[in-house]
Amino acid sequence: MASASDLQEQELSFYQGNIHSLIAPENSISLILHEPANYPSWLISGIIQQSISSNNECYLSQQSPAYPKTPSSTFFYSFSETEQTYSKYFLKYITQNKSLFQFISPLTDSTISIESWNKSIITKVKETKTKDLTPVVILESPELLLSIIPGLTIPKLLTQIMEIQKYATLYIALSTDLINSSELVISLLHRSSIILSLTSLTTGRADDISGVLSISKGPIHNEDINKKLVSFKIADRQFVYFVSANGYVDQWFASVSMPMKLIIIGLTTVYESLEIKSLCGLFTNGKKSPEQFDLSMAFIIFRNILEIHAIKAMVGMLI
Amino acid sequence: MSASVASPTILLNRIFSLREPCPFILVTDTFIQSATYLTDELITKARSSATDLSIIYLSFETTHTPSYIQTGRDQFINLLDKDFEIILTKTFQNDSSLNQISNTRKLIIIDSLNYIQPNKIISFLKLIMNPSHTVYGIYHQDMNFQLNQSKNPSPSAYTYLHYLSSCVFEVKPTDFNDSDSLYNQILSNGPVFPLGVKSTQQPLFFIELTYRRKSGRSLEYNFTIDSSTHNYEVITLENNTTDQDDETLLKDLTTFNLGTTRKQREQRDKVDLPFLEAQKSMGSVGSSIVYEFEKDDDYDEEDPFEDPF
Repeated sequence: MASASDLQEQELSFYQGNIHSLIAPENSISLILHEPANYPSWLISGIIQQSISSNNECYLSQQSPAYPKTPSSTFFYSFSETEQTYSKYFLKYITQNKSLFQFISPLTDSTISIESWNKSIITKVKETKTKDLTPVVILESPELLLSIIPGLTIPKLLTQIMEIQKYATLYIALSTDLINSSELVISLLHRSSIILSLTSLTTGRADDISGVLSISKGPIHNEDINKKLVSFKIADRQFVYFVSANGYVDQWFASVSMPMKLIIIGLTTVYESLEIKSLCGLFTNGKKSPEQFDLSMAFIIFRNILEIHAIKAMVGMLI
Repeated sequence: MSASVASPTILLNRIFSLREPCPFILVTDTFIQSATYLTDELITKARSSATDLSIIYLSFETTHTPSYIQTGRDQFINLLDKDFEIILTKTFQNDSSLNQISNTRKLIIIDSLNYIQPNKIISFLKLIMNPSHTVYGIYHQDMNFQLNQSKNPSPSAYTYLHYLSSCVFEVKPTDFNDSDSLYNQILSNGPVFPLGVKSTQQPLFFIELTYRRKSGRSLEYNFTIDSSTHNYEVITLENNTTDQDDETLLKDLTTFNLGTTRKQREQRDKVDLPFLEAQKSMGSVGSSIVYEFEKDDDYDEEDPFEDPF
């Protein structure tokens, strides 16, 4: 029986024609927005792995050739999770240059004063920043600070985030469903150069698809931020992904376990497996240009209420 | 001089090159299609027409100085969560004394007007408005909430800004006409995800320009701007609310013939309606009911149903 795992895996890349596929230009904000059911631990782990790697290694783009790269210091500040959540990923993928990576949970770490959380980050970042290399900082769930710190307003929190941005390449992971975070989400959307969103399939739960990763351009142009490198052209596309259980059972997030596979065709649930396979066969014969892939993915993910023969007709026109 | 501007594209070019008298340009955008490309167009045009133009960038959300800010000539000022009155007074006090000597044009860019409290908008603009300044302010329509809550109910900041502006640009994606488009969903329900492929920050976008002349007359034009080729195209939006007559509404509605032929319509127009006929002769006696005895009427003095009047 055909399943999504038969499909061709794709390299995950946020930027077109850039070998460091997941690493954003310095001093930019990359926003990772997710729903509670689509936790981005697999994605964050991939970013960390590539950031600290000295040969551009990343488990999400295994097929890409090894390329020498200066490893960056990477700091992961999580306001919602402890290291336990990520331990499986860290054990498996954070193997190179381990000393460059630090996981910090400011809420459980008694040495950090929560009111001056950003100062402790800036101190660490400044220590490791060199002329040629900007450290990577990943903030997870900073929206919780609005509830934790008395008197902290959104403009104040944004000022603190901007301070960190001055010295680092910043990734911010936020949940879109948390109450009172929508104002912060919109404010950050206007400051980001890339928007990565993880959502469930609109058609419902599927056994072989965990969700959709959508990569979109943010309002800030990378050319403005990075005057040295202008090759950060965002690969505006969507992936469907599958995080398999592989024997691990996690009571809270079924998607936390590993490993994951990226597959390109977003057709599940609504169609019979046989039809999926015949359609996928049309796409994966290896003769299609990337532009056609984008087009077909958009069509299938967004117009999946259409009849299967209508899609087939469309596919026929594309090829 | 500006009254002679006939072509909308020429008007747009004149606004971009700061040759139209526009003291305050307001731009509204969303994160789906931000004003970044429009700002770039304006800066390029303004710089090429006035080489001595000096830019003051007032930042509420930009961390790094944009590439068009030249050190020495331009200024980049961060105002987020700071007392803008002190900073701006200091900036423009020095400036006004210098201005008397060299009267250089200044373009003041505000990257987001959303962070200013509605009751402070006027004082903010008062600090930066000046005859030699052109103010270019961006307002994010999807951030239509008050970040700094004030207790006094007052009109929204956007109401003030729209009223005070001499020129308004509304930046929209090209599919804004579609009621199901992401742009319309975000304006009504807030951000929705996933955003989809090639749906944000497209180089080809739509702008709605409202230009207010000094006379009070306001001109409205629509354009599509291709920022990759710097081409501006005037768009005439189709008016969908055309009046439909009964005939088109009834067409193909049922199997019955509900329409009328031309001959039937002509005959119908000739019919004198009774109430119109009655008013011709009765108008002279006001509102009273007058019984006119006709030749076939049988008048009976003892008729119990006789009109008592």
